[in-house]
Amino acid sequence: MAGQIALHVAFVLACVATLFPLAWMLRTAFAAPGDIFHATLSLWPDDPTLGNFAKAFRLHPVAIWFVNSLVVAGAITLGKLAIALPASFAFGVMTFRGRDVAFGLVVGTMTVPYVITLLPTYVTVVGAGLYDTLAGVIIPTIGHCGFVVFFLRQAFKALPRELFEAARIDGAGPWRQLLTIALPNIWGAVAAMAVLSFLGAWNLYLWPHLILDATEHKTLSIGLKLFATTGEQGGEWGPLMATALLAAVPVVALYLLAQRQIVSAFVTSGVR
Amino acid sequence: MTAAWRRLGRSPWLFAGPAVAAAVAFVWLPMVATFGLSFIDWSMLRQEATWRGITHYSGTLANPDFHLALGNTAIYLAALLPLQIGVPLALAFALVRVRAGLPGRIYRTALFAPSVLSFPIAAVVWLWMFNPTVGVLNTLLGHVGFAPQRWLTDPDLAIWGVIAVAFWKSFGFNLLIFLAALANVPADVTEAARIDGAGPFRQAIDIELPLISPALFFAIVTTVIIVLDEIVGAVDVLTEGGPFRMSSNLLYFLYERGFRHFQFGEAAAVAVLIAAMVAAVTWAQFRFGERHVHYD
Amino acid sequence: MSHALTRRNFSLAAAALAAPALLSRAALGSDAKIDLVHLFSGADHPIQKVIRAFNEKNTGVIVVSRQDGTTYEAITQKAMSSIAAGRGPALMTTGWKLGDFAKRTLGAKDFREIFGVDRTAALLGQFRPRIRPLAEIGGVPIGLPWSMSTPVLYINQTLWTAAGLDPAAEPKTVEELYPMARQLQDKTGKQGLCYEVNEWLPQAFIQNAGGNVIDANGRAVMDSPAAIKGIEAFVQPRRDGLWRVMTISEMLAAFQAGAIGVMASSSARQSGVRQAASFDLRLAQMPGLAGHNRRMNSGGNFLAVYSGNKEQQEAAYRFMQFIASREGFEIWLGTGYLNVTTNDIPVRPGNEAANAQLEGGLTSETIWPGARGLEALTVHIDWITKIVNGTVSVADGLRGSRDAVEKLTAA
Repeated sequence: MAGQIALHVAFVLACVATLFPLAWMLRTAFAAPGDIFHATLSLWPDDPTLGNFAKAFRLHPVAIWFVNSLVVAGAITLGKLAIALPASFAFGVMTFRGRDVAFGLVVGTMTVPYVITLLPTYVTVVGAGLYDTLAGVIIPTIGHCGFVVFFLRQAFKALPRELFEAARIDGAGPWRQLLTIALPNIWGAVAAMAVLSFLGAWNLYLWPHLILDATEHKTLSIGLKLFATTGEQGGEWGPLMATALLAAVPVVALYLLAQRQIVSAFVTSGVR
Repeated sequence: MTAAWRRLGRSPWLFAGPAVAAAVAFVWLPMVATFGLSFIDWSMLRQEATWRGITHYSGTLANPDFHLALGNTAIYLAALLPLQIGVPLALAFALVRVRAGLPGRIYRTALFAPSVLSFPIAAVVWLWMFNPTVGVLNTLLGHVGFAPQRWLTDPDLAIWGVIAVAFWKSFGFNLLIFLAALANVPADVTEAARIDGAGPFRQAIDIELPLISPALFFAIVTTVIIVLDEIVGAVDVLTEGGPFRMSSNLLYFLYERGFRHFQFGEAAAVAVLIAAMVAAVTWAQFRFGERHVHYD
Repeated sequence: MSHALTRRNFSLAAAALAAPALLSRAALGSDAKIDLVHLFSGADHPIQKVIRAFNEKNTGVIVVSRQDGTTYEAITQKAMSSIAAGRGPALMTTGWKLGDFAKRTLGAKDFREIFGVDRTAALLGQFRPRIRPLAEIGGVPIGLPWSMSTPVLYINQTLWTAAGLDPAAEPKTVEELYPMARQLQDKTGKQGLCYEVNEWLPQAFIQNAGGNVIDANGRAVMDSPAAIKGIEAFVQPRRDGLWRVMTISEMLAAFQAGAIGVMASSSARQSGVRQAASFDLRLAQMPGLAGHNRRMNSGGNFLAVYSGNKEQQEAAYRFMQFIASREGFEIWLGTGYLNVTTNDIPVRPGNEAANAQLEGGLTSETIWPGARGLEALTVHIDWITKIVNGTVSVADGLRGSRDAVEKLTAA
């Protein structure tokens, strides 16, 4: 029993330490300007205000950054699923010549560190006139879908063969087999990959940082960097923390809503 | 005609083709192109190439800034590997021993919360706490009677600031992996050990640890990826690699050569060198894994 | 006259081309939009006011503000990628120090080629003769020399008087300043002094000791005995525990929070600092070095044109005309930049110190030569940062910088 109490004390302390930076972000996001610049340890702002959010939106196009992040993360997620679903179905269920080579080409990308693709992809994107466009961020990123294909193929392979046999006898072509028979049985896996891809894309940093230029084309992650480095005119920490809070909310919400899928995706990826 | 279309419509290549094309176009071809680029000078502005042979490699290997970035990457790895494995592992062993269900779930959720943030968001939050005059960390130090620190501008401290942020932002991820792996350890195994008189530490080290070795192995791989790749988001926001590159790492060095000074050939050589190192580390890990990781 | 003709021709052509659109959107159809890339933060910064005032005139040109960073290095690096991608800025606030780089590597346009000799002379004629050569690189005018600042002391007068210092004291040399900062620190417990860590403020010290960073022939000479002496004086307060080294943004935040007694920084930061400071702020001339003639430097930026598009270039001309006018420049002086035009505008309160420094004579900012000048500049800043942090001795650090800079400027 004493052991259990010690455990709880230790965990409460660990949680307090872990959550403190987030609490401090919250505090600053809702603190009035005068309250930000004096040394305090109080977690509750003296005079809570929403002014920092209004000011953040006035200083930078935060709403546009938010939409851009949604577009980038959404498009990358859909794009990855759109090409990975049929491919993993083909690799997992169909038999054809060259299948193993093709599978190797796709899944082998998992072992390639993306730094080695960075420069030529940049040159190509610039050459294609996609510099400073969201498409320039989205399209090359979709190509890195090796893990999604690997993961979904496992899910398809785990389905009983008889399922497809029966469908084939009923005259269902491969597309119908994929969409009406296989897909409904692997929703969990698809959801896990969707969540994982979305989180990954929402948090992208270096690539959008290289490709996006105009202020109103930035995503939240790189907009935050611009915001943080333009603190020169007075250190706008309140509005900056308000923006960080806005950037954190969707992923935290997604985590709380889809905790089970995320855990299963992470775990399966871990025990592959 | 329609039959031919139908056959085409059913072709497996229609299913697999886009993914294969994307892999080739956005991964394999660029990889080959990077090799090519590393032997030339490429001017983005003039679209001209000049053959440079292996001078980018020799130049990079002799560049003190490259040595610094390499050394820093080693520091990042040496600090983060034990932290990212040891702390979550200890937490996971402890958490599975918490008997109350709800507090256990709350602890897990709280400890994992920072892991869903991106590196730049995490970095921005800490940038504010690190502020030398009004940051809460120095306020805290002041309360317990210590002198304020220059967290990110002191050349000896800056890299540890980035390490702290990287650890805070990602240890929860490994915790989750370990917890899930531990959940799969059959209860009768630990029960048997307990009846044999093994204490909780013996159980953890002798029984559970070997059983979750695949998860351990995976955690090492992800930590290496964090250090070589994702941490760049924190480095750029917190220190921009400074002061005078004391917190830079290999990828940041590549970023500076390639995208700040537009020495694409040189940056490509750096990319090849990084990739070679990653390949070597991965190979070593898998060799190690074959011998020591038990998948069943 | 010729200008009016061009304008009419241009409008006619635009009207003809845009005729179908004009039927529905009468006035908007012919507006030329140009991007102005700059480094000024804040929705209330004078650059936004200048742009707003210009756009409200409905000249048929709309200027779009684009802040790409907070240092000349950062926005110049960004500009390189966008120029390579064929989406370069029409106009950019180009640092004086990067003039050579802007011309050679970024391809800043020769005003005479895009505007013609007469119109260039008419535009630049609005500026004081001494200033004009600053935006000429190798005799080629590539910019509108609109922004000139100089290092000044920002004094937290509330702390200053609380420490018992003479409220009107103007230290003429750093040897006079340092004891005052000491007294302020000892009496108030706040940090006495803070210098900005870059290449620009150290240049003032090198020059005031009789040295140079780059000499007239473009050679790196920042390790001369005089330069070493200047930098020794620069880092002295750090050794004496008066100056806790921090980044510029940290310094500004700390000063505005009242945590620093005196800071040395660009006069151009005045609008931002004053707006956020809740104490009594006083600006004073930057002190020189005892036993040496004052030789203060200037800094800032010129507006250079990067667009190769005729219409965009004409739009840029129109905007620059407005800036150089009395109306436009009066707004611009709100930044703390100096009046370098021939417009007779009374000195704004707060600008007196910087203005007096200008009247006393300023040297130009170091121009980093060569196609890799930007890289040379960043390397030099790295070495200065090492020196300031005490990682290397002043002499070793400056020699290290010279070696590295020589390699890059030779490339």
